[in-house]
Amino acid sequence: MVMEEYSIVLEDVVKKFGDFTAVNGISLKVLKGEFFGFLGPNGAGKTTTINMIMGLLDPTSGKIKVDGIDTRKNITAIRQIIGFVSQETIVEPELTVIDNLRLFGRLYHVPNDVIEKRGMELLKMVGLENFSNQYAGVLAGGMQRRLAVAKALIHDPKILVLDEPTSGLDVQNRTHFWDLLEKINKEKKITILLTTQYLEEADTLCERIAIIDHGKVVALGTPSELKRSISRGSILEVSADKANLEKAFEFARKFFGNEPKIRGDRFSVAVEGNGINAMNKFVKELEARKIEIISISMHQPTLDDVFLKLTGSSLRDTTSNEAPSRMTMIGRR
Amino acid sequence: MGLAGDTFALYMREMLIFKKNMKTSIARSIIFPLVLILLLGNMGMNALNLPIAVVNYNNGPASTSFINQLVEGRVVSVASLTNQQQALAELQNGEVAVVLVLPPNFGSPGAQVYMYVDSSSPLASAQVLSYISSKVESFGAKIVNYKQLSLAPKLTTNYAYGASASYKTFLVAGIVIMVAAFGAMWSGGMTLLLDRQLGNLKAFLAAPINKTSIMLSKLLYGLTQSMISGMLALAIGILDGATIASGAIGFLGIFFFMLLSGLGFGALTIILAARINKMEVYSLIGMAITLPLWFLSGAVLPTSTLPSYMQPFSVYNPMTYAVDAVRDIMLKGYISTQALLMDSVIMISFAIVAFILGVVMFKNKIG
Repeated sequence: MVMEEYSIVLEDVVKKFGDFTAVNGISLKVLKGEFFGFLGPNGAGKTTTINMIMGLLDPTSGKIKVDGIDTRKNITAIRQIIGFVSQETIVEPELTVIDNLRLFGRLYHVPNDVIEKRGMELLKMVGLENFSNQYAGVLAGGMQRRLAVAKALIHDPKILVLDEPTSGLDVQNRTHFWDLLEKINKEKKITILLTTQYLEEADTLCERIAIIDHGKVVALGTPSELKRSISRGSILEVSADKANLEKAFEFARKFFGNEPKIRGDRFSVAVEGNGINAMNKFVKELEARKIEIISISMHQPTLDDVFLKLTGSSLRDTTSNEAPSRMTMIGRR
Repeated sequence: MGLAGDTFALYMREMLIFKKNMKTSIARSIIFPLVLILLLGNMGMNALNLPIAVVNYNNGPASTSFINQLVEGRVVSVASLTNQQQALAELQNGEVAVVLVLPPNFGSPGAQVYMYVDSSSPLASAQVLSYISSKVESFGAKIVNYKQLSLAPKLTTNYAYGASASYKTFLVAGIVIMVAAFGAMWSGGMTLLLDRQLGNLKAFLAAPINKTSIMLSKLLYGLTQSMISGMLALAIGILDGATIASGAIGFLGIFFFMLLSGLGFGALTIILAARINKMEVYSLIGMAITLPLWFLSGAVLPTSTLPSYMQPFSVYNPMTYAVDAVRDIMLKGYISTQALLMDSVIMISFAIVAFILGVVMFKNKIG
């Protein structure tokens, strides 16, 4: 028998709810031990895809295999090897921390002595060993998420599936949570599939990312591959008042030979080669043409630039309500 | 492990949550029966169907119509229709509380009706006497009142409620079944709905377990809650003066019918919760179903007092049979096997049908 190389395989998966197509033909392969991310805005079809992998929804068409097993053939066997942290479920608030682990240990058919032993190890790993007799509902948000991860690992799964695990967490808790996930992926050699709408999360954690929009994979690759696909150089961002913005936009198109992308009162454009030189020249040319701008800045391409290029809208705009703006600076590389 | 193991694991979860919220759970179980038994049970409803004797010198259509109207409201019942001497003897012996003497000219204006009242009987209350007076006056007659003391007041008989019992025992039997059914309704289906809203249910559905175990654990939890509620209601009733005429075996019988009610009605709520997503709608529909079922089951008043168009709702109401069985057990010192057998068969069938429907609905609608 050939060792299964892929953890999760999706083949042209489609999910329709009546007339609405939530997932429109997704195909991808997640390698064993890989940290894989679904990145996309709300309503892109990430959770629907996860629900189909977990067997909570049946695909309208297409095929899903987890560890070589077809979801339609033996979903119970699949569920037994997946640790699942769903978007809604955080923890059992009315049970103590240790009872949370015991409950899910039993539901995943782990022997009692193993539950007790592994439970304490997991609590230590997620930093909750001193809270084992606290009711989960009184724990702070970040602690509840970490308990949810411990709960999902109680049966020593091969795959950990996390559906937007950090939404609503503050910066400090989020980075703490990221460290934990990286540790699990490296030390336990567990495949991790994570969905997120936070660029920095995908960028920091994931080895490979599938960018999903309107139920389709619009790009797939490592974060650096994706960013390089935009530009090998830098991204220049220019803001100005309306009249000047249009003039600067037209000029930038000619000057750099790339199509700039407008969002709001600013546009961004990819610059090849030495970004500083190009920026200096550009500013001088603008002055010579009496085009006044408010600001100009330069950064390395981010996943948001990738998303903007591929979909025409910024992921940051759609999630800005949730993601504190400080996050974008910390996470940026 | 299998179905039983998974069900047990999930049931343990329910019980841990129950343990955490023990005080409020118990308080919620107590408050309803406490209020109903203490208030309704002590409202002097015992005077209903008070036995009286009628001496009829008229024997015409007027007196016949009068007697029919008098007993219609079931405030009094005509225990004997006899001559004056016999009637007064019954009054003296405390067998009846009131003797009414209808004159030959009853029905024509100004006729005088003699009313002898056993003033030693607490059952012949002013309420009952004014009821009789108003009936007499509606036939244009006047009441002439005589007070008399019975020699041996032994009137405790209340024919509507059984052989020898008080309204309180009658009421407690109805309330025990009601809280058993309601306890299952508000814990089983309700917590299922809550789990679905909060997302806990999704975690269970994503676990490698048989989906039915989730439903079974909810049903078991509902059953536990209904047993606790029912037992507490029974305890309150007994402390307040209700009795179980058939003793210790009767207690087992009550337990049995509480179990069947909890099972049947608990499964009904699973069906409800499987179809309804909103807590408000669930509460609304739950109330709209359970309250009428309860009132029409004869839990508060005998089903015979219901107007004829409501009678079918009582006949096709499973709660009627559970209430009836528990009432028989509590009121009668002997157990009529035939009546109990019928109640049992109906309740068992109801529980089985509701259970199967619940399992099927849960499988198809959840997940």
